[in-house]
Amino acid sequence: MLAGLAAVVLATGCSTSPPVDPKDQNASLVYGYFDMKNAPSSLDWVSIKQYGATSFYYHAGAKDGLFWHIGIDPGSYQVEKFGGLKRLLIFSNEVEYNYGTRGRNETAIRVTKPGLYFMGAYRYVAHDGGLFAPDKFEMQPVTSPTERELLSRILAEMEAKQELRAYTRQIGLVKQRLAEL
Amino acid sequence: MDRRRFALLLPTFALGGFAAGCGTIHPQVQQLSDIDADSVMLVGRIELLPALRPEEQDLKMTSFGDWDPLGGKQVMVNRAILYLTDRPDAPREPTRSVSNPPLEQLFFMQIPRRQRYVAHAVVFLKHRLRVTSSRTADVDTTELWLPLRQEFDIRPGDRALYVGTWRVQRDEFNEVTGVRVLDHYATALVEMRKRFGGDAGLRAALPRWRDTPRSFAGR
Repeated sequence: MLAGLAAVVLATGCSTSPPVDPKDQNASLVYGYFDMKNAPSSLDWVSIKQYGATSFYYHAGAKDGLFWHIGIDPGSYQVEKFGGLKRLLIFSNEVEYNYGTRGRNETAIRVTKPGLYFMGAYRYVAHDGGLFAPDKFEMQPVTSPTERELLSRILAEMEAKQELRAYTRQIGLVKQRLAEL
Repeated sequence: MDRRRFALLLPTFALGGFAAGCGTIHPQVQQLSDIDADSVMLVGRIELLPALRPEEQDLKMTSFGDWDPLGGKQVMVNRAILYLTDRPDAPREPTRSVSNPPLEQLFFMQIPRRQRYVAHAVVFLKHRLRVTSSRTADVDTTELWLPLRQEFDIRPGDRALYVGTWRVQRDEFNEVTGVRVLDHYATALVEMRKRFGGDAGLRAALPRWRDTPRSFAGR
Protein backbone atom coordinates (compact mmCIF):
# COMPACT_ATOMS: atom_id res chain seq x y z
CA MET A 1 0.00 0.00 0.00
CA LEU A 2 1.29 3.39 -0.88
CA ALA A 3 1.12 5.71 2.04
CA GLY A 4 1.36 9.42 2.36
CA LEU A 5 4.59 10.90 3.56
CA ALA A 6 4.09 13.77 5.88
CA ALA A 7 7.38 15.53 6.38
CA VAL A 8 6.48 17.75 9.24
CA VAL A 9 8.30 19.41 12.05
CA LEU A 10 6.85 18.28 15.32
CA ALA A 11 7.55 19.37 18.84
CA THR A 12 7.00 15.88 20.12
CA GLY A 13 5.90 12.50 18.88
CA CYS A 14 3.53 10.20 20.69
CA SER A 15 3.28 9.98 24.41
CA THR A 16 5.31 7.34 26.20
CA SER A 17 3.52 4.12 27.03
CA PRO A 18 3.00 3.39 30.73
CA PRO A 19 5.54 1.07 32.42
CA VAL A 20 4.85 -2.61 31.88
CA ASP A 21 4.41 -4.78 34.97
CA PRO A 22 6.86 -7.72 34.68
CA LYS A 23 4.25 -9.91 36.41
CA ASP A 24 1.54 -9.07 33.87
CA GLN A 25 0.56 -12.45 32.42
CA ASN A 26 -1.44 -10.86 29.59
CA ALA A 27 1.44 -8.93 28.05
CA SER A 28 2.76 -9.97 24.66
CA LEU A 29 6.04 -9.14 22.96
CA VAL A 30 5.46 -7.53 19.56
CA TYR A 31 8.36 -6.83 17.23
CA GLY A 32 9.24 -5.90 13.68
CA TYR A 33 11.85 -4.36 11.46
CA PHE A 34 11.92 -1.41 9.05
CA ASP A 35 14.90 -0.92 6.75
CA MET A 36 15.06 2.84 6.29
CA LYS A 37 18.23 3.06 4.19
CA ASN A 38 16.32 4.69 1.34
CA ALA A 39 14.19 6.90 3.53
CA PRO A 40 14.81 10.60 4.10
CA SER A 41 15.17 10.08 7.84
CA SER A 42 16.27 7.63 10.48
CA LEU A 43 13.82 5.36 12.29
CA ASP A 44 13.62 6.39 15.93
CA TRP A 45 10.12 5.44 16.97
CA VAL A 46 7.12 3.43 15.93
CA SER A 47 3.55 4.01 17.03
CA ILE A 48 1.60 0.76 17.31
CA LYS A 49 -2.13 1.43 17.35
CA GLN A 50 -4.79 -0.75 18.87
CA TYR A 51 -7.91 -0.94 16.68
CA GLY A 52 -11.45 -1.85 17.56
CA ALA A 53 -13.87 -0.64 20.18
CA THR A 54 -11.06 1.04 22.08
CA SER A 55 -8.16 2.91 20.62
CA PHE A 56 -4.77 2.95 22.27
CA TYR A 57 -1.24 3.66 21.16
CA TYR A 58 1.95 1.90 22.18
CA HIS A 59 5.10 3.85 21.59
CA ALA A 60 8.06 1.65 20.68
CA GLY A 61 11.60 2.85 20.34
CA ALA A 62 13.63 1.68 17.37
CA LYS A 63 17.30 0.94 16.90
CA ASP A 64 18.93 -0.06 13.63
CA GLY A 65 15.50 -0.76 12.18
CA LEU A 66 14.35 -3.07 14.96
CA PHE A 67 11.34 -2.02 17.03
CA TRP A 68 9.69 -3.96 19.80
CA HIS A 69 7.40 -3.64 22.79
CA ILE A 70 7.15 -6.09 25.68
CA GLY A 71 3.76 -5.15 27.09
CA ILE A 72 1.05 -5.39 24.43
CA ASP A 73 -2.42 -6.37 25.65
CA PRO A 74 -4.70 -8.64 23.60
CA GLY A 75 -6.33 -6.85 20.67
CA SER A 76 -5.84 -5.90 17.03
CA TYR A 77 -2.81 -3.84 16.12
CA GLN A 78 -0.77 -2.39 13.31
CA VAL A 79 1.90 0.22 12.91
CA GLU A 80 0.04 3.47 12.36
CA LYS A 81 2.91 5.93 12.21
CA PHE A 82 6.65 5.93 12.54
CA GLY A 83 9.28 8.56 12.43
CA GLY A 84 12.78 9.77 12.95
CA LEU A 85 15.16 12.58 12.26
CA LYS A 86 16.20 14.00 8.93
CA ARG A 87 19.63 15.48 9.38
CA LEU A 88 21.32 18.10 7.25
CA LEU A 89 24.67 19.36 8.55
CA ILE A 90 23.89 20.70 12.02
CA PHE A 91 20.14 20.87 11.43
CA SER A 92 17.56 18.18 11.97
CA ASN A 93 13.84 17.87 11.38
CA GLU A 94 11.45 15.33 12.78
CA VAL A 95 9.83 13.33 9.98
CA GLU A 96 6.63 11.41 10.51
CA TYR A 97 5.29 8.74 8.17
CA ASN A 98 1.59 7.92 7.96
CA TYR A 99 1.36 4.20 7.37
CA GLY A 100 -1.84 2.90 8.92
CA THR A 101 -4.23 5.74 8.35
CA ARG A 102 -6.04 4.28 5.32
CA GLY A 103 -7.13 0.82 6.34
CA ARG A 104 -5.09 -2.23 7.05
CA ASN A 105 -1.40 -2.46 6.26
CA GLU A 106 1.10 -5.30 6.14
CA THR A 107 1.96 -5.11 9.84
CA ALA A 108 -1.58 -5.86 11.02
CA ILE A 109 -1.77 -8.54 13.71
CA ARG A 110 -4.38 -9.90 16.08
CA VAL A 111 -2.99 -10.62 19.53
CA THR A 112 -5.36 -13.32 20.69
CA LYS A 113 -3.41 -14.73 23.62
CA PRO A 114 -0.21 -13.72 25.41
CA GLY A 115 2.88 -14.61 23.38
CA LEU A 116 5.22 -13.36 20.67
CA TYR A 117 3.90 -11.60 17.57
CA PHE A 118 6.11 -10.71 14.62
CA MET A 119 4.89 -7.78 12.53
CA GLY A 120 7.35 -8.62 9.78
CA ALA A 121 10.43 -7.09 8.20
CA TYR A 122 10.09 -4.43 5.51
CA ARG A 123 12.12 -1.94 3.58
CA TYR A 124 11.14 1.61 2.81
CA VAL A 125 10.67 2.28 -0.90
CA ALA A 126 10.17 5.89 -1.96
CA HIS A 127 7.92 6.98 -4.82
CA ASP A 128 8.51 10.44 -6.16
CA GLY A 129 5.26 12.36 -6.39
CA GLY A 130 6.66 14.81 -8.92
CA LEU A 131 6.54 18.55 -8.76
CA PHE A 132 2.96 19.04 -7.59
CA ALA A 133 1.97 15.86 -5.78
CA PRO A 134 3.27 14.72 -2.41
CA ASP A 135 5.84 11.96 -2.30
CA LYS A 136 4.61 8.52 -1.33
CA PHE A 137 6.21 5.40 0.00
CA GLU A 138 5.54 1.74 0.38
CA MET A 139 6.93 -0.85 2.75
CA GLN A 140 8.09 -3.95 0.89
CA PRO A 141 8.58 -7.25 2.73
CA VAL A 142 12.18 -8.43 3.01
CA THR A 143 13.61 -11.80 3.96
CA SER A 144 16.69 -10.41 5.64
CA PRO A 145 17.08 -9.88 8.54
CA THR A 146 15.22 -12.99 9.53
CA GLU A 147 12.90 -13.30 12.48
CA ARG A 148 15.59 -15.40 14.14
CA GLU A 149 18.18 -12.64 13.75
CA LEU A 150 15.80 -10.05 15.13
CA LEU A 151 14.82 -12.18 18.11
CA SER A 152 18.48 -12.81 18.86
CA ARG A 153 19.02 -9.06 19.00
CA ILE A 154 16.04 -8.64 21.30
CA LEU A 155 17.24 -11.43 23.60
CA ALA A 156 20.75 -9.96 23.76
CA GLU A 157 19.33 -6.58 24.72
CA MET A 158 16.94 -7.98 27.31
CA GLU A 159 19.70 -9.98 28.97
CA ALA A 160 22.13 -7.08 28.89
CA LYS A 161 19.92 -4.43 30.46
CA GLN A 162 19.20 -4.56 34.16
CA GLU A 163 15.70 -3.07 33.79
CA LEU A 164 14.71 -5.66 31.19
CA ARG A 165 15.93 -8.75 33.02
CA ALA A 166 12.79 -8.67 35.17
CA TYR A 167 10.67 -9.69 32.20
CA THR A 168 11.51 -13.35 32.68
CA ARG A 169 8.33 -14.63 31.02
CA GLN A 170 9.01 -12.69 27.82
CA ILE A 171 12.66 -13.79 27.85
CA GLY A 172 11.50 -17.38 28.19
CA LEU A 173 9.11 -16.96 25.26
CA VAL A 174 11.91 -15.54 23.11
CA LYS A 175 14.18 -18.47 23.91
CA GLN A 176 11.37 -20.90 23.18
CA ARG A 177 10.68 -19.28 19.81
CA LEU A 178 14.35 -19.19 18.92
CA ALA A 179 14.54 -22.92 19.58
CA GLU A 180 11.68 -23.42 17.12
CA LEU A 181 13.16 -21.32 14.32
CA MET B 1 -1.88 40.77 16.35
CA ASP B 2 1.70 39.57 16.54
CA ARG B 3 3.38 37.94 13.59
CA ARG B 4 3.24 34.44 15.00
CA ARG B 5 -0.48 34.53 15.70
CA PHE B 6 -1.14 35.92 12.26
CA ALA B 7 0.96 33.16 10.77
CA LEU B 8 -1.09 30.63 12.69
CA LEU B 9 -4.25 32.04 11.21
CA LEU B 10 -3.07 31.75 7.63
CA PRO B 11 -3.03 27.96 7.44
CA THR B 12 -6.20 27.89 9.46
CA PHE B 13 -8.13 29.83 6.91
CA ALA B 14 -6.42 28.22 3.97
CA LEU B 15 -7.42 24.71 4.98
CA GLY B 16 -10.85 25.67 6.15
CA GLY B 17 -11.50 26.38 2.50
CA PHE B 18 -12.41 22.75 1.89
CA ALA B 19 -15.87 23.60 3.13
CA ALA B 20 -16.01 27.10 1.80
CA GLY B 21 -15.09 27.04 -1.82
CA CYS B 22 -11.94 25.18 -2.82
CA GLY B 23 -14.33 22.62 -4.25
CA THR B 24 -18.05 22.33 -4.76
CA ILE B 25 -20.11 20.38 -2.29
CA HIS B 26 -23.35 19.47 -3.97
CA PRO B 27 -26.34 19.87 -1.65
CA GLN B 28 -29.01 17.52 -0.49
CA VAL B 29 -32.20 18.11 -2.50
CA GLN B 30 -34.80 20.06 -0.55
CA GLN B 31 -37.48 20.20 -3.25
CA LEU B 32 -37.79 18.77 -6.73
CA SER B 33 -37.40 22.20 -8.31
CA ASP B 34 -33.78 22.14 -7.09
CA ILE B 35 -33.08 19.68 -9.91
CA ASP B 36 -32.45 21.59 -13.11
CA ALA B 37 -31.52 20.49 -16.62
CA ASP B 38 -27.87 20.08 -15.65
CA SER B 39 -28.39 18.01 -12.53
CA VAL B 40 -29.92 14.79 -11.34
CA MET B 41 -30.94 13.48 -7.94
CA LEU B 42 -29.40 10.30 -6.53
CA VAL B 43 -31.52 8.37 -4.07
CA GLY B 44 -29.85 5.64 -2.06
CA ARG B 45 -28.31 4.68 1.20
CA ILE B 46 -24.82 3.88 2.49
CA GLU B 47 -24.58 1.56 5.47
CA LEU B 48 -21.39 0.76 7.35
CA LEU B 49 -21.19 -2.55 9.16
CA PRO B 50 -20.48 -1.96 11.96
CA ALA B 51 -21.95 1.55 11.94
CA LEU B 52 -19.74 4.48 12.80
CA ARG B 53 -19.62 5.24 16.51
CA PRO B 54 -19.74 8.97 17.32
CA GLU B 55 -16.36 8.86 19.06
CA GLU B 56 -14.75 7.29 15.99
CA GLN B 57 -14.69 10.63 14.20
CA ASP B 58 -12.12 13.08 15.48
CA LEU B 59 -12.61 16.20 13.37
CA LYS B 60 -10.82 19.45 14.07
CA MET B 61 -11.11 21.88 11.18
CA THR B 62 -8.84 24.62 12.49
CA SER B 63 -5.79 24.84 14.68
CA PHE B 64 -7.99 26.32 17.43
CA GLY B 65 -9.59 23.15 18.70
CA ASP B 66 -13.29 22.90 17.95
CA TRP B 67 -13.51 26.36 16.39
CA ASP B 68 -15.05 25.81 12.97
CA PRO B 69 -16.22 29.12 11.52
CA LEU B 70 -16.74 27.72 8.04
CA GLY B 71 -18.75 24.71 9.11
CA GLY B 72 -16.35 22.22 7.57
CA LYS B 73 -17.00 19.64 10.26
CA GLN B 74 -20.66 19.30 9.30
CA VAL B 75 -19.58 18.31 5.82
CA MET B 76 -17.96 15.18 7.26
CA VAL B 77 -19.79 14.17 10.44
CA ASN B 78 -21.44 10.78 9.86
CA ARG B 79 -21.22 11.33 6.12
CA ALA B 80 -19.40 9.74 3.22
CA ILE B 81 -17.43 11.94 0.86
CA LEU B 82 -17.87 10.97 -2.79
CA TYR B 83 -15.47 12.69 -5.18
CA LEU B 84 -17.15 13.06 -8.57
CA THR B 85 -15.64 13.47 -12.01
CA ASP B 86 -16.62 13.50 -15.67
CA ARG B 87 -13.67 11.27 -16.59
CA PRO B 88 -14.01 7.48 -16.61
CA ASP B 89 -10.25 7.11 -16.25
CA ALA B 90 -9.86 9.49 -13.31
CA PRO B 91 -7.38 8.24 -10.70
CA ARG B 92 -8.51 7.29 -7.23
CA GLU B 93 -7.97 10.62 -5.59
CA PRO B 94 -9.96 13.66 -4.41
CA THR B 95 -11.57 15.91 -7.00
CA ARG B 96 -13.12 19.34 -6.65
CA SER B 97 -16.65 18.07 -6.98
CA VAL B 98 -18.02 16.46 -3.82
CA SER B 99 -21.23 14.79 -2.78
CA ASN B 100 -21.51 14.05 0.93
CA PRO B 101 -24.46 11.73 1.54
CA PRO B 102 -25.36 10.99 5.16
CA LEU B 103 -24.59 7.48 6.39
CA GLU B 104 -27.23 5.02 7.53
CA GLN B 105 -30.18 6.92 6.07
CA LEU B 106 -31.81 7.40 2.71
CA PHE B 107 -30.07 10.21 0.88
CA PHE B 108 -31.39 12.56 -1.80
CA MET B 109 -28.29 14.13 -3.31
CA GLN B 110 -28.13 16.50 -6.25
CA ILE B 111 -25.15 16.00 -8.56
CA PRO B 112 -24.18 17.44 -11.95
CA ARG B 113 -25.33 15.20 -14.80
CA ARG B 114 -21.90 15.34 -16.45
CA GLN B 115 -20.09 14.12 -13.37
CA ARG B 116 -21.39 10.59 -13.49
CA TYR B 117 -18.24 8.89 -12.19
CA VAL B 118 -17.17 8.42 -8.58
CA ALA B 119 -13.39 8.72 -8.59
CA HIS B 120 -12.85 8.14 -4.89
CA ALA B 121 -14.95 7.75 -1.75
CA VAL B 122 -13.99 8.06 1.90
CA VAL B 123 -15.30 8.58 5.37
CA PHE B 124 -13.03 10.85 7.37
CA LEU B 125 -12.32 9.29 10.76
CA LYS B 126 -9.77 11.87 11.73
CA HIS B 127 -9.13 15.31 10.31
CA ARG B 128 -6.81 17.48 12.34
CA LEU B 129 -5.08 20.61 11.28
CA ARG B 130 -1.57 20.80 12.67
CA VAL B 131 0.47 23.97 12.51
CA THR B 132 3.99 22.70 12.07
CA SER B 133 5.86 25.96 11.98
CA SER B 134 5.15 29.65 11.68
CA ARG B 135 4.72 29.19 7.94
CA THR B 136 3.50 25.66 7.44
CA ALA B 137 0.62 23.45 8.42
CA ASP B 138 -0.59 20.05 7.43
CA VAL B 139 -3.75 18.03 7.80
CA ASP B 140 -3.42 14.77 9.67
CA THR B 141 -6.18 12.46 8.44
CA THR B 142 -7.32 8.92 8.96
CA GLU B 143 -9.68 7.74 6.26
CA LEU B 144 -11.95 4.81 5.73
CA TRP B 145 -11.59 4.19 2.01
CA LEU B 146 -14.82 3.05 0.44
CA PRO B 147 -14.51 0.91 -2.70
CA LEU B 148 -17.35 2.77 -4.39
CA ARG B 149 -15.70 3.82 -7.64
CA GLN B 150 -18.54 3.54 -10.08
CA GLU B 151 -20.44 5.04 -12.95
CA PHE B 152 -23.98 6.25 -12.45
CA ASP B 153 -26.28 5.22 -15.29
CA ILE B 154 -27.67 8.68 -16.00
CA ARG B 155 -29.86 8.79 -19.11
CA PRO B 156 -31.50 11.66 -20.96
CA GLY B 157 -34.70 12.62 -19.20
CA ASP B 158 -33.64 11.24 -15.83
CA ARG B 159 -34.41 13.49 -12.89
CA ALA B 160 -34.08 10.98 -10.05
CA LEU B 161 -32.11 7.73 -9.93
CA TYR B 162 -32.34 4.99 -7.33
CA VAL B 163 -28.81 3.67 -6.80
CA GLY B 164 -29.51 1.11 -4.09
CA THR B 165 -28.36 0.47 -0.57
CA TRP B 166 -24.60 0.04 -0.46
CA ARG B 167 -23.83 -2.11 2.56
CA VAL B 168 -20.14 -1.80 3.37
CA GLN B 169 -18.60 -4.36 5.71
CA ARG B 170 -15.43 -3.19 7.48
CA ASP B 171 -13.00 -4.86 9.85
CA GLU B 172 -11.46 -3.40 12.97
CA PHE B 173 -8.62 -1.89 10.93
CA ASN B 174 -11.18 0.04 8.87
CA GLU B 175 -10.41 -2.07 5.86
CA VAL B 176 -13.47 -2.78 3.75
CA THR B 177 -13.98 -6.52 3.48
CA GLY B 178 -17.09 -6.54 1.34
CA VAL B 179 -19.76 -4.45 -0.35
CA ARG B 180 -23.28 -5.60 -1.12
CA VAL B 181 -25.73 -3.66 -3.23
CA LEU B 182 -29.28 -4.17 -2.03
CA ASP B 183 -32.36 -3.20 -3.98
CA HIS B 184 -34.83 -1.44 -1.70
CA TYR B 185 -36.48 0.45 -4.52
CA ALA B 186 -40.06 0.18 -3.27
CA THR B 187 -39.20 1.57 0.15
CA ALA B 188 -37.14 4.36 -1.38
CA LEU B 189 -39.96 5.35 -3.73
CA VAL B 190 -42.45 5.57 -0.86
CA GLU B 191 -40.03 7.69 1.16
CA MET B 192 -39.26 9.92 -1.81
CA ARG B 193 -42.93 10.54 -2.61
CA LYS B 194 -43.62 11.26 1.04
CA ARG B 195 -40.94 13.91 0.91
CA PHE B 196 -41.39 15.40 -2.56
CA GLY B 197 -44.95 14.60 -3.58
CA GLY B 198 -46.95 11.72 -4.97
CA ASP B 199 -46.01 12.11 -8.62
CA ALA B 200 -42.24 12.14 -8.21
CA GLY B 201 -40.60 9.66 -10.57
CA LEU B 202 -37.65 7.46 -9.66
CA ARG B 203 -35.79 5.15 -12.04
CA ALA B 204 -33.87 2.22 -10.61
CA ALA B 205 -30.27 2.30 -11.80
CA LEU B 206 -28.07 0.18 -9.59
CA PRO B 207 -24.41 1.05 -10.04
CA ARG B 208 -21.77 -0.50 -12.22
CA TRP B 209 -18.61 -1.03 -10.18
CA ARG B 210 -15.34 0.09 -11.66
CA ASP B 211 -12.94 -1.76 -9.41
CA THR B 212 -12.75 -4.39 -6.74
CA PRO B 213 -11.74 -3.76 -3.17
CA ARG B 214 -8.26 -5.09 -2.56
CA SER B 215 -9.52 -6.76 0.58
CA PHE B 216 -11.78 -9.01 -1.50
CA ALA B 217 -8.68 -10.72 -2.81
CA GLY B 218 -8.29 -12.85 0.28
CA ARG B 219 -6.62 -10.57 2.77
